[in-house]
Amino acid sequence: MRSVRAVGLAMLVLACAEPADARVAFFPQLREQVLVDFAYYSGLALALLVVVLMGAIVGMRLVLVLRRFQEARFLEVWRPKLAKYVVGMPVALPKLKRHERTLMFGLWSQMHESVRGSGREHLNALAREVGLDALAWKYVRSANPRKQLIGLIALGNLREGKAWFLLAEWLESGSPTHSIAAMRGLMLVDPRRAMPLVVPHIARRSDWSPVRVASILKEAGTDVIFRVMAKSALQAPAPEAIRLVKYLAATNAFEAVPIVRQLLATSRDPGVVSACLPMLREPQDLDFIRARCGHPVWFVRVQAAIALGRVGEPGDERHLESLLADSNWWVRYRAAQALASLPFLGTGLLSELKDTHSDAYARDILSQVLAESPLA
Amino acid sequence: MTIHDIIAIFQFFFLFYFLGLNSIYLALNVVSIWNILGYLQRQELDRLPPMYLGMEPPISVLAPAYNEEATIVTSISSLLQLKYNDYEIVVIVDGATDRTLEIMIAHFQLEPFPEAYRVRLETKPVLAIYHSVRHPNLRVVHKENGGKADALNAGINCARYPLYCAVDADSILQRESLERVVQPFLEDPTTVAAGGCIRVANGCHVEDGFMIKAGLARKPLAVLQTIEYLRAFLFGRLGWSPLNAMLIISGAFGLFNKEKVIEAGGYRTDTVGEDMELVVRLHRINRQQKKPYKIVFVPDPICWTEVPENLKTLRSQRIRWQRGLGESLKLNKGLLFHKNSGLVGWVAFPYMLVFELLGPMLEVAGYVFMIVCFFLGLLNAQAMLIFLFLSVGLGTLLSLTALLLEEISYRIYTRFSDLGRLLLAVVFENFGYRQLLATWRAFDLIRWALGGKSKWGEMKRSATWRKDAPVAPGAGR
Repeated sequence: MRSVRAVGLAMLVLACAEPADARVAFFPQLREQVLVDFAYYSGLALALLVVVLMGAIVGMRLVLVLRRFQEARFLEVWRPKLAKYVVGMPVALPKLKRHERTLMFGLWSQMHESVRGSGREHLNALAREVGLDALAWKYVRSANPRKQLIGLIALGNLREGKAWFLLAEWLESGSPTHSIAAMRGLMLVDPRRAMPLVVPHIARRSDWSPVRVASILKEAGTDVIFRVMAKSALQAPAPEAIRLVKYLAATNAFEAVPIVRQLLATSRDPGVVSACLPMLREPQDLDFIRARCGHPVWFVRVQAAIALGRVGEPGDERHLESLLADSNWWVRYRAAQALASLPFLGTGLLSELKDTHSDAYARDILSQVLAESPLA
Repeated sequence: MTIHDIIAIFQFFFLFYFLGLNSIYLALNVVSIWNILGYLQRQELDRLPPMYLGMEPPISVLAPAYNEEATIVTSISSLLQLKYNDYEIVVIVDGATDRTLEIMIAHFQLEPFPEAYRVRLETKPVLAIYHSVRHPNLRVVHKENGGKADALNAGINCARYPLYCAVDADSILQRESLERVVQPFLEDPTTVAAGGCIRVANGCHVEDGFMIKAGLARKPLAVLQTIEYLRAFLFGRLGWSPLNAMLIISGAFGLFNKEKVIEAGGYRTDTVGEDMELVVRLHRINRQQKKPYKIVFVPDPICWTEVPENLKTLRSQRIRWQRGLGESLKLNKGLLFHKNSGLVGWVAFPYMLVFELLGPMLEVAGYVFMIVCFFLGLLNAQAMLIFLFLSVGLGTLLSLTALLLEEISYRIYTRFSDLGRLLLAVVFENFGYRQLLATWRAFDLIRWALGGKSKWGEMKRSATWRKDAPVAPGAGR
């Protein structure tokens, strides 16, 4: 901005000098007066634009104040009515005004997230009574992206089968926000039917927020999701398989473990192996885990150390002890933590190990982990 | 070639400079508006309840501290209240000469901790590491004084998590700051850094480290800076970010991929603009190596910081920023017009060089020239006023755009009187304030060119708007 002013002043100085023999020509053919006129009319136009913009800002603020007042009035009237409707009490519903529609979507969606079972059915009945269902369709088909999103979220909450194909269409949208909303909608309408549709997107779309996806999957339930996701992971290329397995781990879909074992039997990709190791919690997996303690890639060794801490048996401490001298800090740290978590090793034995270990890095990391231990 | 020819050449130069600068501002405006509307739209999904399932990457919050005895307890207490699933706080006491460390030891029940400290970045010696018995996710690194960059490097060495968040010890964060700033890393694994929007804390009601209510500062100097911050963040960074050409992330709040920063060499300790220099370097290295990466801006107001309320401190700060800008660009000049540098090297870097670094020189040269012409009787007063009117109008328009973006999005200043004062500031900043800043920056540019050394200086903090819990008498003795 300072440069703008600088230029303005410099142009002035260079363009408007007097007397006549010191005048500046812009182009050889243009005269100084053209420049001054240009500046004058530009300044007027700018002044007008400034006034308009100031007016727009003040106007927007006034509109905001009005909207907040309307929202407060709306909530005062509708919140108690919705609360009664949810529990099945008879309620007289006023006609929804035009400016209340988006507010109603917001309140209704919010309440949807906090009720279950018959409460949801009552909310959906209310939506039909005030015309929210038809409005949701209209919003999805509008050109306004925000309305489209509100409509998609609402169609999901309504759980109507007839919205299936519209939601499936939006699943293909390039917008991550809209496509995730469509995914959520499909999973709410019919999760089992939705899984084969959404899993390829879950695997491929790196622009989807993993937290949002994982929370949608968790809501659907692991019994619904695990089979399709795990089978897809078996056939997917490594980057997609890793993503799918991580979702299975995040949603605690341990029913998928047998299929994960199949994946481990066929895949040598370090990313896939390290993604699968957190799923292994059975003694039958110990041989596999032990063998991974010597893996050339550090993050596989990290997961192997953690897994041994989880399911290790007496005798497995020697694998972890060897990792205490690993070249990678994280491997050493997780190995030390795993040792500290083994139920058959007490802090006394660990302290002894710390005092007698030949490797200085091992002694350092054991000191740290022992200090972190709640029993220290 | 006659004097008239020379003057004509200068005219062409200024005209193209004028057109180039305003074209970029216009483009940034358009991109900013589009970006913020898209961002606000995505927040519709935030109506759905947030669920944090352990898929969020854990974060190490690094807070360098030097002589912060007055505010360190409330600052760290507020960091401990951040809403995030898994994070740790590493405070780096950088050779403080006051009672910062003693007060922390007493208040947070710190005990010496046998940390297996890894030296991945060279720093001044670490004297001791403490952990808090009361707060298991708080550690304190006590080291020899080496400056903020050195302290951050020590913090990176100590950090356990894949992402680290560099904050100023006196920054006030919103409770959901980490949740907001981590989103780009969740959405795109090539993200290496994300910056947050910094707002002016003066005039806000802060208690025990928490923002209770936002408000506009009373002092005119702070109000003028509020407009500047709105311009810089809502207009500047919001415009560059979608182009992956944002050259700065504020040192007050930024989230980084730790391994990428270590690969790049960490923070340089030989510059006063270590925050900007790191970001420019990340651009340079990733562009030169043709690695996919993103450096992103998150427009939510998630960090609040005190701005100077006196001219002396303001001057010191702006000179440091100018110097930091120059050093950052000079140290990474390989990015300029590099064949792989894309918009960063071909638009953003030249923009910073020509319009931000050298711009103050041009402005001051214009004023000097005008004064000389006036005394030589060469100045047409009427034309001068017209051009002044034009340049003030343009400056006002650009600041108004930033205010418009604020009104579209967050509307932090809810009172009408605050809005009125901001609208006045938008106009009056063109009469004296901008010229003063330009003069300071221009003179420092000359000093730097002549080999003058850069230094941090001290910021005199009033913090009169904070109501902090008093430090217990005798604490730390």
